Amino acid sequence: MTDDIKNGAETADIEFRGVSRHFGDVIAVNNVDISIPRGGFVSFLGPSGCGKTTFLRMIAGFEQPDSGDVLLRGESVVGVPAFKRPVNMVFQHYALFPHLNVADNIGYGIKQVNRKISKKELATRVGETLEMVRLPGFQERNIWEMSGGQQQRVALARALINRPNVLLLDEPLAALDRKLRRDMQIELQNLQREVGITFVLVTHDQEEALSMSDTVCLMKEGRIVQTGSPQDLYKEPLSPYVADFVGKSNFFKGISEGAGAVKLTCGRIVEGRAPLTVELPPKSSAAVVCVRPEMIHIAAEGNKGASEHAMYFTGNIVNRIFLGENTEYVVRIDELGDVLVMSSRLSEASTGTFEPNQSVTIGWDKDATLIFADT
Amino acid sequence: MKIYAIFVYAFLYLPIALVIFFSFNAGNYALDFQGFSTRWYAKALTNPFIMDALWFSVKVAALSAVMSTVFGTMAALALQRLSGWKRTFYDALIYVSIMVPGIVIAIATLIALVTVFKFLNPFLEVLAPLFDGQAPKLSLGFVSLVAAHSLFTMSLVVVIVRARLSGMDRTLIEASEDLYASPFRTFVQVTLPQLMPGILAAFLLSFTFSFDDFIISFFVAGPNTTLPVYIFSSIRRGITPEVNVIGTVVLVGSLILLFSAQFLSTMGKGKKRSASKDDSDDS
Repeated sequence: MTDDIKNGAETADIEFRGVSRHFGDVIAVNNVDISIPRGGFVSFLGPSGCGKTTFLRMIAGFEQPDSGDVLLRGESVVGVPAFKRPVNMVFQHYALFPHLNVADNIGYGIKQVNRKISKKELATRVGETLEMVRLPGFQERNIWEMSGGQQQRVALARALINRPNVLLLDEPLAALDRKLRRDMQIELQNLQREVGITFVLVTHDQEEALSMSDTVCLMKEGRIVQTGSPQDLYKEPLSPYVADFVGKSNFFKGISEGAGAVKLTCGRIVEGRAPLTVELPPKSSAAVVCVRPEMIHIAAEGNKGASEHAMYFTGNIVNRIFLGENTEYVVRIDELGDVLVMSSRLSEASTGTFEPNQSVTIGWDKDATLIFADT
Repeated sequence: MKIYAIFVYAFLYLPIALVIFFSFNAGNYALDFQGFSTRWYAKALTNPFIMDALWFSVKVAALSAVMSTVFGTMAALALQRLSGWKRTFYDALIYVSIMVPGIVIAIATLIALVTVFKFLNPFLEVLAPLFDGQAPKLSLGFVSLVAAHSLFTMSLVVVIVRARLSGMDRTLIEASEDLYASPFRTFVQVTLPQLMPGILAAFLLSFTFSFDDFIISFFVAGPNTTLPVYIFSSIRRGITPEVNVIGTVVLVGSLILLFSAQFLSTMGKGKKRSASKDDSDDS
């Protein structure tokens, strides 16, 4: 099976064919087939230890596959060392050379390839690249004089100046604070559109992956479990694992009744639908029902609103987490256990806020209910 | 400060202060101060025996420091690539050679060298016709002393360079290779500059250790005399202010080297720390 992103086999920048990589007994990458088209922004998302970094390092050439083939623009690069590959990487902690100033760091790659480049030409290109990452005039600065965000941009410039076929980003924003991370997310997206080369990002932060990339590959234990647009992954997850990792979800176990209904362990029957391209579990088999917390309506008990939905339950609030734009409630329902509900400020304008220990009714619609086979 | 602490320092440094003080003695006897003068400095620095010994010591120290730095750095780089029991084993060997008393190393080196010379010299006889009947003969001297000092100081170099190497960011090497630099160019352009403060410190320390060494030199130098050996033998003829002068000059020289070694080995670390410190104040 090949996950062809946008059927781009001919214009693929990167192609993996049955690639596996083991470390001792641990399988880091397990028989992965994927084709990444030219000019996209692809994220590899997954928890630590899922093999995403090994995957990236095999593209860079720091790791070689145990089996399978890695192709860059149609040519196998198995056995080709990192310094001969037309890809560049932005390292997690930037890995800028502390004994060189900003200009020498950025010019490093060019000087390796073209040792006879004139100082003037090199200076021009370094200057252009610094302007691209919005650090004009920083040529003579020392690395240790710069803040994390500035170092990040130097690392970007050092990679981009070589005009690689592919830019690899290894958790590039992990070391930045929240506000700066937001700015860099937008900047990276703009930069990618500007230079038009393929960006491959590896991250464990779902927000980073969803916000920046046009394709997300979710990984689990060395395999890619779902490839698609951020919207697809969020709205049509192929498995409970995806629904759990991308965004937040409530899961309820039960037995499939067939025809889009599940009898929960408490005895209540809920109706729902299977995600697109996924089959409903057969009748009488174990099933899992998934409901996103923001799709659940919450209202004070006895108050109409929540009880108008297809499914509704009554319980007590045990916890409230104020997040600014949203509030998260944990509601204890006798039949279901603890349910996470997210309420926006807009909806709270009509329902009001709720206090811990308050009795509430929660409800959701059939469309908001996804049904998976329980494996 | 507690009073006994002052005594400890006094006990340590007063004798040294006295050596410096009496090196400016005008009189003929080391411990009988007859007034201030630099005449013993003039005398010591024109004494051909002292100058020969000094020159010999400097040559031995410089050459052995170069050799131990080169080979010690190579060994440190190689050890870094080992893993598991091999690394532990060779590491242990390095530390043992630092901790073994100098006298043991001196005797062992002497016996080893003499045995090797005894074994090799008959073979060198064969070459006699090429050298007008006078076959070259291996014996103790400059070369054997340089070899002994190099081996002895090499373990110091390994320890110092290893410390620097393990503190180095390994991703720098990957970054260099990612930017099209071959492993050799990566070594020259990234690894070596990163290690340089450590290597220079190791060189200076090796130089001082070799220059100050008495025991190994005494056993292995053969007919030659290093400065410490000369001082030892001249003391037996009575202490003159000349010895104090030599002591003072050597002390000052050693201190300069040690302080520069210390300065070099800490250089760059402070900068590195501040580089990763603050991520928040982007402008």
